[in-house]
Amino acid sequence: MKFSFSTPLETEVLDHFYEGDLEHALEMFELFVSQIPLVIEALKVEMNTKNLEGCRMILHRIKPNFTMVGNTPLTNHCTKIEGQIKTGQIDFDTALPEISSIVEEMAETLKHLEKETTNLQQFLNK
Amino acid sequence: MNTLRSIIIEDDPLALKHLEVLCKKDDRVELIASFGNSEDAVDFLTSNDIDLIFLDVELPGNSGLDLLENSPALPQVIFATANKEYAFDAFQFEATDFLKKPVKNGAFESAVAKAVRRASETSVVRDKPNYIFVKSDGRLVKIMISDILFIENVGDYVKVVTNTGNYITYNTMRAVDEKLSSYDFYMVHRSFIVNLGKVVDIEDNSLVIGKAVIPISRSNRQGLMDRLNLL
Repeated sequence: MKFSFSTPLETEVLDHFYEGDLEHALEMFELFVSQIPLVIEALKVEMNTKNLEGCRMILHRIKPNFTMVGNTPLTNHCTKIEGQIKTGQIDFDTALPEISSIVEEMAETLKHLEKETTNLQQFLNK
Repeated sequence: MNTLRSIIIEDDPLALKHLEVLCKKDDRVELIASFGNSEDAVDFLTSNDIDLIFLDVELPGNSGLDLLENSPALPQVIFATANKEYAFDAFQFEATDFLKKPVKNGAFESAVAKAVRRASETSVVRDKPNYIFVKSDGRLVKIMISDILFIENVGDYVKVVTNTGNYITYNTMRAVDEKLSSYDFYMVHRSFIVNLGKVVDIEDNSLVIGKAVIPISRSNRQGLMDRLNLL
């Protein structure tokens, strides 16, 4: 029986990235599920203290993670905002709604990943 | 084929785990340790022989670029970063390769192949270097073995005394003794390791190197005599 990643995620990206190594995928998904709530909290702290550079550093650090869990658009969104902050194209007030939107997208991705992690665990009898 | 003794310096847990898995799958790579910041890695590098570093650039504290700037003779480095803009830095620092995160299997394998090729080209040179690196004041300082006069124990640190200056580094005399065991050095006292080629005079319980008078412990005296080129 073959495992298929669920449709809210980019299944082609995941198939290509993990090349059928589902154990590896599960390991990454579990880590994502455990880490992203912490990242969201950290990002909120930086937003509340209006620390734009702090926000940028977090976006930079986490942006590749979303591709690894099948959400390339979120990686691209983080890249765009990080770049605009770095080059001074946006100030804190302009960046804030964008970063808030990223946080919402992260929370949404987290929900999908929690389900997908359970699916994978069941498939692999973990 | 020898494996590449490797370390990863990466602050993001997912990126780190992913690289660790890729290393584990590749029998050309022996992953020795992983670090979340460059400071801990520098400490590790001072006392361990490593062939390859997978290096993130933006790190908490000192960046990956700081590490490269302050450590002139590191092993091979493969950049692993989320921003393409660092590719130029990778080129400047003569990095073996540049991987864009998230790192894909094919790109990883290709980068390791380059590292293996480069390692095989330099393996003769790596046999026994005529220098050593010492971490002092947060930097890795290159010291020619032939410039070292002696090493003195100072509490939890050791002082490397050379022709041109002294370098204090966090280390043990035992570790230094092991590191220099294949060279012409001898521990004449629990607090002193001397470069035998620099000894100018020996008396019963002491020897002279430059202007320093160094004690010889009774238990190490015969061993010293055995190592000297006596007539």
